[in-house]
Amino acid sequence: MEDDIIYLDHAAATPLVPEAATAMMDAYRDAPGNPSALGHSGRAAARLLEEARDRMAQALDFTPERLVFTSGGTESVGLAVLGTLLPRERGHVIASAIEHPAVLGSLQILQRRGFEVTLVPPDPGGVVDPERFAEAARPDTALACLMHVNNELGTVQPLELALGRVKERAPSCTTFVDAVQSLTRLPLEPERWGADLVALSAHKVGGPRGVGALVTGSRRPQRIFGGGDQEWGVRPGTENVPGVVGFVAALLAAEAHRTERASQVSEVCAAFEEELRRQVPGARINGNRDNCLPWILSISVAGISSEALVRGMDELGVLVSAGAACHARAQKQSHVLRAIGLSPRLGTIRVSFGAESTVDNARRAVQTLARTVKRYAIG
Amino acid sequence: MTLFILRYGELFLKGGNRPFFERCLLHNVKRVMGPLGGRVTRLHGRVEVELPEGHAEEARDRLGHVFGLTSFSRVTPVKPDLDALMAAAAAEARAAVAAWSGASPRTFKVETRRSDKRFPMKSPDISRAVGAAVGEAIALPADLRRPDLLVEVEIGSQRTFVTTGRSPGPGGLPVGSAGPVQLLLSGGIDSPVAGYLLLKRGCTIRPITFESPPYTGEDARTKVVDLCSRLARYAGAMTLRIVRFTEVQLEIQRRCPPRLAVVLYRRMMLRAAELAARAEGALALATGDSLAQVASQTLENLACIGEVACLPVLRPLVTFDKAETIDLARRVGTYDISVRPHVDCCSLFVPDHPETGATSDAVIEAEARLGDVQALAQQMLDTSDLVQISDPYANP
Repeated sequence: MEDDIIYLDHAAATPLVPEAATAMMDAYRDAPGNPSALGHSGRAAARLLEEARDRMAQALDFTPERLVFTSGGTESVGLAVLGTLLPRERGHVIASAIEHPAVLGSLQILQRRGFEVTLVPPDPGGVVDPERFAEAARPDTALACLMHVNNELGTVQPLELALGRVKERAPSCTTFVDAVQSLTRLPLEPERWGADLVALSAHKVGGPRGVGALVTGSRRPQRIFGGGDQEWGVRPGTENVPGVVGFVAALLAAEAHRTERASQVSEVCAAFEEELRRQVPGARINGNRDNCLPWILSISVAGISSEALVRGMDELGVLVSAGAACHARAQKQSHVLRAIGLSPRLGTIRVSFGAESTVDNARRAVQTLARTVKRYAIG
Repeated sequence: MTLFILRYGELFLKGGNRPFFERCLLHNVKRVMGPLGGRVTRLHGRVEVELPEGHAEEARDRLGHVFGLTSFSRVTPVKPDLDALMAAAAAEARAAVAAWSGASPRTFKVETRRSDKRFPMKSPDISRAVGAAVGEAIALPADLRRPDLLVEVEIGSQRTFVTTGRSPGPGGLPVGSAGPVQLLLSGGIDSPVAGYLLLKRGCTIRPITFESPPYTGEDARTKVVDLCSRLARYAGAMTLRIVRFTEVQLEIQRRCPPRLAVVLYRRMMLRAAELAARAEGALALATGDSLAQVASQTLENLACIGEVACLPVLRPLVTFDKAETIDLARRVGTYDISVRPHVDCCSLFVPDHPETGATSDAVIEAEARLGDVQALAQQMLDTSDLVQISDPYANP
């Protein structure tokens, strides 16, 4: 990345870390074969893949059979949601109203096939009340989806309470957690959460785009498209070996520094918030900050559009996003901001920090935001 | 070699100025045919294009974008000799039936035009003789009133040919025959169509557009550039002037009554466009306005907006229904570009209840809060960007 650019859009994509880049180049060079092929280069690729799977499982403290590699977060979500429910004739699903579009989009597919979907709204702070979530569960509830960290607000959802209560009411219900934004930032603890399936993505943790994983337990979803028997037949298709190797290298690098990064990013985020109060007193920070990951900050300002804020800051070398990157180009209010009751007339940006973010960068970013507001806001 | 004969209609009306119009037309035909290796010559009342083999389809597309042409045909040149004409017409007719799309033709007719009176037979006799040969070749009856297949024979002093396919041209007058117009172009549906219609009447266009970054983005600019590229098929290369409107728009928002905002935007845009027009020698301004289509286009508002310009403001779509404009936009090929979902500055900060009956007094009072509006317009123009739009037909 160019030196004078301040990149604060890590929740959209993180820069590839050198450990991942090196591991991927090695894999491309040393194991060009298809892991399913019989020859020695295929065997080398298969070995690399399984070593990577073992290392990742070890780092996260579970068995390698529980890791299904995919093409990314969206596919992991699709496999979890559709692969759990499509084999059934009918059923009921609950999910929070602030899930990622990958989840909500998969639920729409199910709705069109006659499944019932209940979306549970969050409180105004962007946190789902566990009791309210569990109350939506019925004996025929087949799937419950709750994300770990919301991608627009950074709010942490009460997984353990909510999913535990769901299981009490609907013991056969499969529970699914989208942990794309929390991976390497908070511990990954499916057992403690009561999660049967967990979706992960590489490019949010310093790995390459186009790789993800689904953590499964005793219940594996069914395949949602046909092909070979790779990944226990759950995810057919030639494995992206260099991608997986890069993912695991990035994950291990980040996990090794999780605690110190967390305190570093907390410091950066605190500096940002403090500077924001000084420089843009009218700005509001969305989401309950007592229950938030410091990596993500959602900020609203009156008198200017989200797009103008993002483009205005971009012109000055600070990269942030409008709401979430997934619908930043759609220019309509995000479902998350609507769900917390935010006025669509406010301009909202998402600032998301990363391993290379510094207090100095945070302050300069706020100054840029202040200049943009002063120059372009009305009223 | 492929030979095309191009026909032009209205130019005949031009009396003493006809050579001028013909020169413009010839220039425009050369613009689109030259890059294909075409040799363009003027015959009596016709234009002829000789092309290397393999470009017939591309040539048809290009000729469909040359205003002033009423029709054109790919023709087979023949010796001025009856036997040769009969053989060529029979072969042409057979090929036309074989290539016919849809239900096969059931009838045909032969039409002859003999301008070279040295040819020993009269037109009706030639048609009869050639018709007999064609009828035998394709085994179809003649129908002189409403034939499915028309075989044309033309015997001229310079060129004799037969042809079966006549494509309609776009009509109008040759671009460049009417003078330059400053076109206020947005990313919407209407103004590109207005540009098309002005080109059709022989104007050249100087597009000027306004943007309000960071409220508008790169995508909005790309959209206008793409619209210009589409119009450049008719017009050839042109220069798009892009004016930054952000600061003026924000000033209007901050200082003036919201109800008048749109009228005030448009007055400022018209002022800047007129300054550009005068600097570049354009003789008129043009907009895509349609009477009473939206609030800013009531007759009162059009009058109030138009009064800031001294040059005439041409509004080719003034009586068009939206559906008619959309229909034309689809045919011109601008519609799919115009409906891309990017905000342009015309739709920014539009009040919920805009004024529909603006008066000069109210508007002048509001503008007094902006200071010297003429100077503001000049400032906008001084910092504008010029983007070269290349001729899409400059290459084969």
